[in-house]
Order: sequence, then structure tokens, then C-alpha cells
Amino acid sequence: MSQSGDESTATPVPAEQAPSGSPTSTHGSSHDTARDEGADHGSAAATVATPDEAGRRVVLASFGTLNLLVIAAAGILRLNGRGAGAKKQAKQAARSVPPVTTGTTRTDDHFGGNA
Amino acid sequence: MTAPELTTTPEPQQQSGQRKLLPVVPALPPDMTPEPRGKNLMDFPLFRRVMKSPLYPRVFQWAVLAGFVFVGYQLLAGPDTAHQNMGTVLMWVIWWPLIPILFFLMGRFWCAICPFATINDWVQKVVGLERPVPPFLKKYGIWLIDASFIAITWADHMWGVVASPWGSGVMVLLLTTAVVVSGALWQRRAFCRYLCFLGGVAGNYSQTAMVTLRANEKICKTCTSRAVCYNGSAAVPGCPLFSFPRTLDSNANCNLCANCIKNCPNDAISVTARKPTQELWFMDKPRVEVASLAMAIMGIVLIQNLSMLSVWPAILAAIGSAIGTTYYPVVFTVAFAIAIAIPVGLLALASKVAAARGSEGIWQNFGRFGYALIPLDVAAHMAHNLFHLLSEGKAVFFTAFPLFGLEMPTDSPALLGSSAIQVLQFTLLALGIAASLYACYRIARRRYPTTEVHRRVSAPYYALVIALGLLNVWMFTLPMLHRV
Repeated sequence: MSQSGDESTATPVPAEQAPSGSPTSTHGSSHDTARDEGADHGSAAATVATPDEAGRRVVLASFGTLNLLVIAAAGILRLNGRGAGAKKQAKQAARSVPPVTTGTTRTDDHFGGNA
Repeated sequence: MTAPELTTTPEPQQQSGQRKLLPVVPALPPDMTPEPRGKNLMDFPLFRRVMKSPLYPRVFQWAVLAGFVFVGYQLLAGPDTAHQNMGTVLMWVIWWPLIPILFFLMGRFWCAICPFATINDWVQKVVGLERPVPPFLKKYGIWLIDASFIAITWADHMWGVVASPWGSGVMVLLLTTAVVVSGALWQRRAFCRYLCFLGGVAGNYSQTAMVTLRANEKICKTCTSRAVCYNGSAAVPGCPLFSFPRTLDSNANCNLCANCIKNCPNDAISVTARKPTQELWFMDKPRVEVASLAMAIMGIVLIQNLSMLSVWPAILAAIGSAIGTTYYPVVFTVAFAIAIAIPVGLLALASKVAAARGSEGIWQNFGRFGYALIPLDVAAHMAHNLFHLLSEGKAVFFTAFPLFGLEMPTDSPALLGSSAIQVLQFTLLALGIAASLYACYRIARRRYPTTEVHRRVSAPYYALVIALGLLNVWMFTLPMLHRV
């Protein structure tokens, strides 16, 4: 039962202030010193490094572009009628009543636009 | 009515070599009574008005989306260190610990207001192709969820995603992209139903929830509306999670969005309060993949706990010396695989013992009794996260100081003392163990109404619950690391 200690003095210690040679935890960059009784919990795992400003912008721009491309592609397909066809088909399918199989919630096995 | 089957139980061979049979025990057919309904909350005028209001759950969605944008901005553009970043604190110290509690209290309600679901709906509305969900996803979706949850946890340990605001931010961006693709391609909330790892966990935990949505079968039988609850109407969409309320018998795929309530012309949908974990006792068609997810979650909680304990380096060193390497990714992966395999293997072992004692095979037992471990899962998960919430909760205020140009306090971020937190953790675990034991008993009794048979079959599962429960109790007696 050693989760004890002087609770009122429990102070977080940022990883950058941790003693040298003490690897930081996978999950924490700080330690509750009161609970840290003889426990160098650290692992050799690293923490994802934050890129510099330019690197951040590249990553954010890449995600933004990717999402916009997906949205644009879907929009073009829909305008061209391919999506509309699929939508119409799905709507027609959705007008039928799902099979009533008592004791199962797996309606999707039979239904959900694939009927 | 099915004729009672007869079972014989072989006794160990006598010294004389003769085989003596025990008295024949007539095995009764499984009990198939449906889950009882509790108090219908729709009888309360205020609750009814809220559920039928067009603002429900939209108001919550907007609020959560605003929070999500703030958290995302903080993660991607805020301070680099976790304990100074409000996004990290809000996400991993506040939201993540509260989410299993919410699942327990209100089922998958979070999924109705989740910002990813809102993004999915927007993309779908603007450019959605609304193609049918591929059969592959329908068939193996839950396995993909199992695998992705394990993979994400592994990646977190390997690359320290939780400890890095940027890493958490990139994870959020990856999920957003997946949701955009899913919303652009497929109908309804296919991502939430078939791909979201948190949705999988939500589906699992919400089966212990205290509220549930069901339809009145008697009224539904006479309905002429062509399943408007499922298909939707011009004003309100159909069920986003592909569930047909009339056949709904589990919380796993209902997010309480109330679309069916608004669409139903007969007021046949009820939202009822019920005993916690009750749904597990009445599960007639258990699925192995759901039981596997429950066991995987147990393994994940195990590794999450272990990696924050003082014994962790010793465990890694022992594994390293056993496999002859100290290379962290290899050693950790082995430790991770063992932690996941322990609950799965123990459940399989218990199922093998039970199979020899009952009339169902190993995998049928694995599926059926795997559900009984969910309460312990939920309790262990809550107990683990309760530590982070209560011992680091004040960090949410501390990290707000720099946003207003003030210096961040260096006081303890604890909301409660260690002893008080530990008492709460053990109380939760005790409740989880008791609920799992009771679920084992109820599941066995329902399947094998004959007292002697259900005792024989459930005994190995009682042992399993106690073993896993004690393992968790031991872990919570040790000092644990903070998350931020």
C-alpha cells in the first residue's frame, strides 16, 4: 500500500527538470514526487518530437490538403451523377422494412443500404 | 417446447477399473425470457420534451465541437510539454477518465455528440456519396476495431503519443481524415459503427449502462410507417448506427441520438432506467469478437497500469534477459503481447474447462462468458483513470494561467489525496469484481437452468474473475506515474 506519502507536498516535476540519466515515462513527463518512492518508472520509449514551426506548417498543410482533396473528389463524383446514382439506389433500398429477426441487433447484415 | 436433454457426468475411474456414472441430471432448456424493462423515462414530460426537441442533441454537439476545436488548437499550436498544454490536460486527464463513467451512466450518448460524428455528418451532407457500407467492414469491422485499439495503444507506448501534445494533435488529425473519407464515401455514421476504436469500447461498456433505448414490439407489429425509425423522414435522419429499434436488444449500437424517437409516429420508443450490467445477463447471441475486445481492453488496462508502476523496468529487464535483447521496441512489444494474451488466454482456458462441463464448445463459452468480464473491465479502466483525474485534475486550471499571461502555479495538481483515491479505486474494483461474478452466475443460470450444471460451468469463470480482480488490486497498491 505504498501510494502514500505527504500528499500536500506532491509536486509535479517536469521531464526537463528530472535528474539526468532518468528516462522519462512513456506516459508522463512529470512525476508525483510523493508517490515516486524509489520508482524510476521510466522506459526507454521516446516521446513524439514536436517539429519546428516550418515542420508544423508542412504537416498541417498536408492534412488540410488531403482532406480538401477527398472532399473535392467526392463533390465532383456527386455532381457527375455517380454519387447521386448511389444515393438514389441507397434511398430506394432504404424504403424497405428491415427484417424482423428477434434477438439480434445485426440489422446491418441484411440491411443498411445493401438490401 | 424442447425435450430436456440428459447429461451424464463421468466420475473418475474406480480403483477396480470400472467406470461409474453419476446420477443422470436432467438439463433444462435455456431460459429465454427477455430483459425486463425498467421505468420509462419518456413518461417524464421534461425528458420527453428534450428527446423530441430538434435542439437535442445538437446543442451538445455544438458545445463539444467548440471544445474539440480548442483542444485541437492547443495540441497543435500550444506549449510543447504535456504538463503545460491545456489541450493535453483536457484530453487525457479530464475527458479520457470521464468517458468510461459516461458510458456506464448513459451508454453511447457520447457517440451522439462526438465531434468526429459531427464532422462526418457535415461532410456527408455536403459531398457524401452515400454508398453502402462494404460487406467486409460489416463482417470484420469489430475485429478491425479490436486491432486498431491494440495498435493505437502500442503506438502510444512506442512513440509517447499521450505525453506529446503534438503527437496527440497528429492522432486527432489522422482520425479526422479517416472520418472525412468515411463520411464522403459511406452512408450514415459508418466510421462510428464499424471503424472507431472508441466506438468499440463504447459499445462494449455501454452494455453495463443504466439507461437503454428500446421499442415496444407490440406497437411495432402494427406499424405501417415502413420503418421510418430506421430509414428516417424528411425532417429527421434515420438511425446513424444502422440499428432497427424494433430488433434492438443491446446498447452496443445505440447512441441515444433520439432520431427514432422523433421519427416514430406511434410513440413506441422508450428510454428506460435499468440495473447496471443487466443487459449482460440476458445476452442470447453473444459474439466472440465482442468478448475478444473485452479481453483486449483488460490486457490494455493491464499494460497501461504496469507501464506506470515501479516494477515496470524490472519486468522489461526480465523479458529482455529471457529473449536476449535490450532493444526497447522488441522488449516492449513482447511485454505488450503477453499482457494482451494473458486475459485472452485465461478466458480461453476457463472456456475449455467449462466446455467439458456443459453442452457448449470452447468458443461459444468464450463468447458467452466473455461478456461477464465487461464489468471488471469497466471498473479497472475507471479505477486506473480515476487516479489521473483526481491526482492531476487541477492541472486544467494551472494550464489556463499562461493563456491569460500569468505564471503557471507549481502546486500539486491533485484534487484528492493518494489514500482517498486508493480507497475509491479499491471500491470500484470490488464493485467490478462483484458485478462480474454476478454476471457469470446469471449468464450460467440462464443458459443452464439446472443448478448443478450451471455451477459446474460457471466455476472456472468465477476463478478467472477473482484472479484478474486480484491482479488489478495488486497493481493499484503500487505507486503510479502521472499522465501529464
